[in-house]
Amino acid sequence: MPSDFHAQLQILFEQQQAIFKQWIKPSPDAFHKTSADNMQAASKVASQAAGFIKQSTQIFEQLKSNTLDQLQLDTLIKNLSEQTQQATLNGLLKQWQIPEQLLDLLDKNASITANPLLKGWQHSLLYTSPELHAVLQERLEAGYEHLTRYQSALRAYLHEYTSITDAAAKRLRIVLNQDGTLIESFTQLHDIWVDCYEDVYAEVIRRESYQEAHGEITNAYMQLTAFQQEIQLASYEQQGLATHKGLDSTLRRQKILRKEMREVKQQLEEQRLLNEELSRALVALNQQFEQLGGNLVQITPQAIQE
Amino acid sequence: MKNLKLDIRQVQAELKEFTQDLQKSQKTLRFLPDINVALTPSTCIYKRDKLSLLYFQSNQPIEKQASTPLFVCYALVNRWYMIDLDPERSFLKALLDRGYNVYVLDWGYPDKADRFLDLDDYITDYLDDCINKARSHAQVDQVDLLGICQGGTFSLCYTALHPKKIRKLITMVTPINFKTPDNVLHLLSQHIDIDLAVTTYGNIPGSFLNHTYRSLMPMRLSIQKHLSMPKQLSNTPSALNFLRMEKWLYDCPDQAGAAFKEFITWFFRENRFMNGGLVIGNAHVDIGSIAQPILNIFGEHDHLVPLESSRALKEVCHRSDYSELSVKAGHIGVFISGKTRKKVPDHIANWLGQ
Repeated sequence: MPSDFHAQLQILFEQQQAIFKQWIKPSPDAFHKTSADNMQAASKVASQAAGFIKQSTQIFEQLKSNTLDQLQLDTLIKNLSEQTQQATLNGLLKQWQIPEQLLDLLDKNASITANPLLKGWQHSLLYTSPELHAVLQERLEAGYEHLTRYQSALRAYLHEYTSITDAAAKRLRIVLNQDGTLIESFTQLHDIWVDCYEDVYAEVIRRESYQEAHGEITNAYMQLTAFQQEIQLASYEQQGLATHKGLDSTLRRQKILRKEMREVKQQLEEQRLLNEELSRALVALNQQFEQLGGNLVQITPQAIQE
Repeated sequence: MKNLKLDIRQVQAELKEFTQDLQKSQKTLRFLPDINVALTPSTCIYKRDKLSLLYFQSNQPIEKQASTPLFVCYALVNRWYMIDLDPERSFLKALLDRGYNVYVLDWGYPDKADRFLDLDDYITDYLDDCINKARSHAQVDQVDLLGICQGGTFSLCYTALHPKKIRKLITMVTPINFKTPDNVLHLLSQHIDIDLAVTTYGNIPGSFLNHTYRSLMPMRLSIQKHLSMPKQLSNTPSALNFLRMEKWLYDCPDQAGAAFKEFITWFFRENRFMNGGLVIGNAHVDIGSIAQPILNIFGEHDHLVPLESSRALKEVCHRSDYSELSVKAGHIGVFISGKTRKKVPDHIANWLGQ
């Protein structure tokens, strides 16, 4: 029995090994020799191209069947605008995504309570300051204010970009109706769309409202990040872990010492140069002294009278 | 929309071409070698903290080499190897071909320990230290200093502070007047709380700056660029060119917090080159006192450092023997575009040789 069992186990191991080898054996079409960066580039190219191909294929089909009328041209412009809008909003939401630490907190507590963020903050703050409920309340209110500010700023910023896309689409329609170059290809249309968008964008970016919105989302995002860092720092300190606060004070002192050391080195260098100059002067004087040496008389009161 | 007359044959042709380019790009990327940059041979003659001082020897015989070496001071944002992306487009190699021994200051990548480094540290300490090392290595009293972008700003400050060490000064795509009407970076930075940025991040993340640069032309630098990628990547030489540039664009070091705060405050907000009051360390910096000959090179289509921002140097440096070269190129095109690849190094060589 035992020998049968071992034999069966051996067969099982061999089968498993065969499966493992199959997993790691690359398929002929795989990017097995491609670097991670190139694979990322390939994937980006493919995903970005997909939308363009889909859109131009649709136009081609409509042209082929002679069904590309004014209404569909309008729809085409609308689609261009909407795709740009979507891509822009996706990019902005990714750029200004709620800070990672907060996302983790939300993930952790999402299933527990309807207010996962506040619950998470509450837990962290109670852990660090269990007796300071008043402080806790104050901190929670501050966190809530930061979050509200961030949401409001994000909304205003996204609104700016929505307005830009809408204005660009209007401008594109104007350009397409003005006397000018005939647009016969999708690429030409796309290039003009880009020009219209960038022109509108260049105008909007110079407006105070846009600059304020840009500043506000940046500051609100940083404020939220800073608040989350504060909570984490307090937690680390409570656990006796070293934080960057201690390191920062060391670095500040190091910086002062560095500058002092540089000043001292400069002074030493100046001193060295001065010494060199003095040495040269002394050598010259000595030489002159030796030249005059034969004409020297002993200084006596009689010599002075003479 | 009377101008919109899509032609079925054109649409079909471009669809076909696009799809073919896409297929070719996938194939190219599968077998593309690693993206190597900075291929011109060099020797690291000095290291300190995060920086390295690189020495590039001219490939010309000794009798054809310039007697004064060239010292390149690049910006802290982005990496120096933009001037040496590949042998075909290397501005650095072009200088070596024209007989210049070149020193390049590689600032490296700041980390959290560097967050309190300020402009005094960078200009009066690091840059001075490296220039001294270069002078000693080359056995010369003076170097010719070439500053690029923010590196040009630093070079101007340095020359004003240490005139005896600099024979001639070249500034390339360098901002002088930070408040010209078309200076979008200045406009975008107006309402940002810099103190909060430094408190929150310590060092300002490179990705933060990258986002800001891309936001200057969001469509051209994202959607339109992505749509041109299949063509760019359809063959190996073109793909290598494209990806080298992409590598450089995304290789954005973090910025030491204190230095960043000073730069934004003193230059972008207070415009101290134009308004005066610039103090680095304990020394007043007056670039108007620079007596060295200055060559100021800028791009007419530079969206990062507008032409008028660079050109303002002329009115500030009134003591200097000033000349300028305006190039029909953008911020990077001044160094690598086909039109400027010969013109700019030739002009520099002629001017330095005078």
